[in-house]
Amino acid sequence: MSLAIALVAAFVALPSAVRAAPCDALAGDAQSDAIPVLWVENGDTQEPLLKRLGKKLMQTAGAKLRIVYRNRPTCELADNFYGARTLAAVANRPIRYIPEDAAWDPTSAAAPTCDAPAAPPAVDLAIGATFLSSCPTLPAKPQGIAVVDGPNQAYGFIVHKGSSQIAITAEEGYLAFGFPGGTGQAPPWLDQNLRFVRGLTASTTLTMAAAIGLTAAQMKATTPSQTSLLLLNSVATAADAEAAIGILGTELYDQNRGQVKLLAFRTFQQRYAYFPDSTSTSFEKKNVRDGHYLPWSPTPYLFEAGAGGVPAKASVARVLDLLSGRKQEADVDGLESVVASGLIPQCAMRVKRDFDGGQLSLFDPPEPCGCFFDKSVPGGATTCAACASDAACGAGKCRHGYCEAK
Amino acid sequence: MRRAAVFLALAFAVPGALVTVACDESAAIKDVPPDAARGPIGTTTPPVLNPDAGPDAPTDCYLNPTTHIEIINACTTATKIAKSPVLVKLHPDGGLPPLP
Repeated sequence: MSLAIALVAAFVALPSAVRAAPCDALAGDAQSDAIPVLWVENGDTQEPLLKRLGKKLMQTAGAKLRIVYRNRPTCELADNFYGARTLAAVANRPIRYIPEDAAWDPTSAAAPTCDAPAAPPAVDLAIGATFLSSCPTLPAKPQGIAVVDGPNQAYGFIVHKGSSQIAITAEEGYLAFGFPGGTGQAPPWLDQNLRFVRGLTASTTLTMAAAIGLTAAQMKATTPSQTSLLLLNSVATAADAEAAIGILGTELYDQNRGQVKLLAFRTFQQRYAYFPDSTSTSFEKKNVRDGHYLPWSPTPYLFEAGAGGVPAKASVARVLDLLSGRKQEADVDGLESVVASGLIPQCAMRVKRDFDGGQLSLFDPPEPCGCFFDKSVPGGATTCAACASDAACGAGKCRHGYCEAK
Repeated sequence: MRRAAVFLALAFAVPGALVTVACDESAAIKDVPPDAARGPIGTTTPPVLNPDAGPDAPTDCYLNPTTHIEIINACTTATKIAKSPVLVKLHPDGGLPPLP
């Protein structure tokens, strides 16, 4: 999807005087109200995943499930889930639903909007995009709420396509974003009006600030962008190509590589800078997965837990099982949706961390899926043997069509 | 953590502040003079990062990483970019200055 088209779609979909159908009565929008709904709040970096998975759940020959969702900064959606936990109206935060139209393309079309119901429904699932411990005012987690790590989300510094820069060090980031104006003396990022961030409660800001030794509140930038797409456009169209810099989720960058450049990043005490991927043109997130690229965090999934900590609601359990790869339905492969959305499933990771900016340690996933991941990314390839059953894998295990070591 | 200390010392003492290794965008890298305040320049004796791996072991990365420092500096086939910008605000030892 071109950036221009996406921006037009985003603006067209913003709330206006024109009323849409209530989200709990979509018959007024030529939709069936007989399809069960999963009510979701999510970071905007997670929208591509919800659209892809939502399309499959709507088109499946099995039990259909409609995802109705709202993009919202991570700390706000967590605060709501810990408190009121309703999908009430929020200014400038439209609610969207996955349509039944089989021709609807989740990769290029905006999801249609609907109005918050008069009696706001409870949020079933909240999906953040960074560690909740980074939210400075979030209250303690109430009893009965569970938080599990979903796929990992990588972030990065983006610059104008015309910039000569290809890498940034953590020290440069600290000086550029930690000091007002150009007083940090970290050229060429000396113009505060050309340093673009998201809001203080957005995962992109929280994770990127932590990566350079700052808190979100310490980031010296221009007025925060309302959405990641608007931030991307600000950098792409900046008048000074060399001075402009912003922060972005890599899944959005991956969809707009022609518009901006993502800088390689060198963290503190690291010798070289690295891209999230093994090269600036690949998509396999090798350096995130093996610990060479540091700005990333898991996407926390918040839900009401029943006995044993499992989701109390069956539709939440179904979605979590699909996205983790634990289960696969005949025509719904959740792991494929995760990979296609630019996220990294935990089963493809080789390192882990406990908080934003925290140190890495080695991670050995109990049910690895690295072969499937390597093969499934755009332009992907794997040396792993394809398989239909464990019998083809010797001492290994057949997982998602490829022989893994275990 | 002696190995890491030696390694980091070298990291700030690599001759020529910018060295590109297997970089696919090397043409875009500017040659910037080294920051003399960062440490000694011109180290000629490489550190031994993998002392048990024999004489042919790599000298700028870890073969079998286990700690954070080793993981982020592990040997890799990925594109790597060396960059040591002149940052006058940094302390002489490379430390970060306090925020205003």
